[in-house]
Order: sequence, then structure tokens, then C-alpha cells
Amino acid sequence: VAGAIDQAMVSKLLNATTSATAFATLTAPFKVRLDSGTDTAAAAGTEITGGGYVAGGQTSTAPFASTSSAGSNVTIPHTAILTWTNASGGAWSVQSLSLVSADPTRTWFGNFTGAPVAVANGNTFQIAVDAIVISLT
Amino acid sequence: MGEPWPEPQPGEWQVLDAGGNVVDHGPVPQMQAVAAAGDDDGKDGE
Repeated sequence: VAGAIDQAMVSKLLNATTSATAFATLTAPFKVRLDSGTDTAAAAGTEITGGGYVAGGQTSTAPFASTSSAGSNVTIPHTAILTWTNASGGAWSVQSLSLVSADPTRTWFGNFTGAPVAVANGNTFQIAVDAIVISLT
Repeated sequence: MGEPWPEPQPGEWQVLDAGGNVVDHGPVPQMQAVAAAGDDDGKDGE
């Protein structure tokens, strides 16, 4: 599976939609986090570190996510590209990405096709507007 | 002023060098909670 939903979030959705279990509101801003390790439904991989990368991930201009309607997909980042310039002194090896709220709660994840993506020191990694497509069906 | 750096293509990530040249690019992983329906339904094809 290239990408999907965190398994703890699966349970929250299922419980909130099948019983009176309240779904606790997540805190903005939501951020995209880059990981050097493989993400699974159980846990995120090890996060990228070093100069040019702020721990916890990056958001961009609001609205960060599109709004789902009638079951449509949500896309991120919805307004401005995400961009990181590697100033760590070494290469980044980007295996996967996670969507994380400010709490922080990991909600969704994806592993890059052909991963890892190599980002040499001094190079810039960018994600296009609306490139991350999130869907439940 | 130099030319503006190229934006990543729709649906893609890209890596730029210090001069703004695209050195690598590819599709961003999609996040789909429910797999698309296929023929893996446990039946024998009858």
C-alpha cells in the first residue's frame, strides 16, 4: 500500500461513526512531515532532521486542505507549494510523508514510489499544490 | 534577476539544485483508506 490512514485514526473514525464515542477535534495547523524511514499504519518512520527541516513538519498558506463535499477527495497543500532546502550538511533520504495535526496526531501517511528520494545538501525538495490526494473510498 | 524557479508539476514532487534546475521528480503518494474494488473477491472466476 503506497499510502493510507493511521490505524489509531481508523479506530477513532469507526468508533465515532458507530457509537456515541465523540471524535476529539484535532488542532490546526496540520503539517506535512517528511520521514527517512518507512511509514506503516502503526507508526511513522524516523523523521528527517538537520538544517532546513523544522521538526514536526511544514504547513503552507491557508486553506492548507481542500474541503470534501459529497464524498470527494481532499487535496493538500491546497494554496501554496511545500518547500524544504537541505542545509543539514548531508543528503536527506526521504522515504515517506505523514499528515500530522498540531496536537500532534498522525492521521494519514504515504510512502514514495521508488523511495527513497535523495535530496543532496543545498538542494530543495518541493511538493506541488494539491499533489497529496486523500480519499476514503 | 534570474528566471523564477520552476514549480513542481501537478501531482508531483521535485528536487531542485542550488541553481533552480530540476534534478529529480516523481508522483506524490496518494492516501486512500479503502482499496479500489478489484477481482480479488475469493471466488474462482466462475
